[in-house]
Amino acid sequence: MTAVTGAGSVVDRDDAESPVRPYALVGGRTRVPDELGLSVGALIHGLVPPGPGLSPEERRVLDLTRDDHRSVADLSARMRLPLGVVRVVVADLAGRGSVRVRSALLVAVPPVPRRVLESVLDGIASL
Amino acid sequence: MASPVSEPIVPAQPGPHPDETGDAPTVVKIVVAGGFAVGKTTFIGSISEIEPLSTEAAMTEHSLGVDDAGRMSQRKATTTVALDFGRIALPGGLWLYLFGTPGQDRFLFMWDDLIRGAVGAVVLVDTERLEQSFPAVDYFEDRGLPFVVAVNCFDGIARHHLDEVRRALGLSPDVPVHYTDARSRAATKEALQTLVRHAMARLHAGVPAGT
Repeated sequence: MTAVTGAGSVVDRDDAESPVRPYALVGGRTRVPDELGLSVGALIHGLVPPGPGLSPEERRVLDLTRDDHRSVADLSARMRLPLGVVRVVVADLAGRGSVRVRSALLVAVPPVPRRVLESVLDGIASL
Repeated sequence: MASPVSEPIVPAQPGPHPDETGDAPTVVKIVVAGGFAVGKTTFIGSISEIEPLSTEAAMTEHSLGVDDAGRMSQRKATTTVALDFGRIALPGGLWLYLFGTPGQDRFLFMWDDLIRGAVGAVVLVDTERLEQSFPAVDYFEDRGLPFVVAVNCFDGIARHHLDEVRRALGLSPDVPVHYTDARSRAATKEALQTLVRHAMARLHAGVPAGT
């Protein structure tokens, strides 16, 4: 198994532990704008360092995405927060221009374009 | 019985991605579906470059039930769905994500998000509990997502003939059915390649979505 950039193999189980119910962190909100395309595979890239006035969750997202793209699923696993909560935190940051969201959508499904399928097939064969 | 809460799948939008010029990797997804303890996490772990990570999605579930007075009632409940995933970096800036998720009826609502932009799905099957794979097969057929059926041979023993599995699942002749061993990297590679080839064949044949 080869490590790729930023692919930590261990989820930090301690630093995100909190007695606060996850949805209380985001004021009970669960909806984010659809146009952000915040699906589980959407990639997040931090554009600014964590500054004052941010929530711990927002700081953590900026820390985790500062040098690398991370998917919403990655962030959720590493922060030990449900996907829905991470989506809201990321949407808030995106709304302030603090992170860039790159939707995982090449095109909507189905189908995935042939050139992408060919690259995936060649790539798997080369593993 | 849960109803999907995700928004419906939108039709394909041709043209380059607005951010395609960036240096971000391109994410491609493959869904690994199957019943409880059928080997999804093992399958993902056999090839993933990262230890399979686990997250959860808390979703509101709309369920129809029968209340104490025997009347039909509609309830809302919050449920938590485990989602395992792994990642493989492929040449050309591709990140292949494998998402493993339970195949029970009441979890299908989250798949609308997962399958958007997905290459297709591998349905892992334990022939001792074949019925666990029915909802996944129904779902992918309904959505027109390419899928293959991989019969996981626990302890390397195939207990049922592939034709029996195909018949029991009522699969159309073009859906690939094969044996796999979720612990084996080579077998997992083969399963993924079979899926991608199947997706390409369907593309070539011009099979429209939703058929």
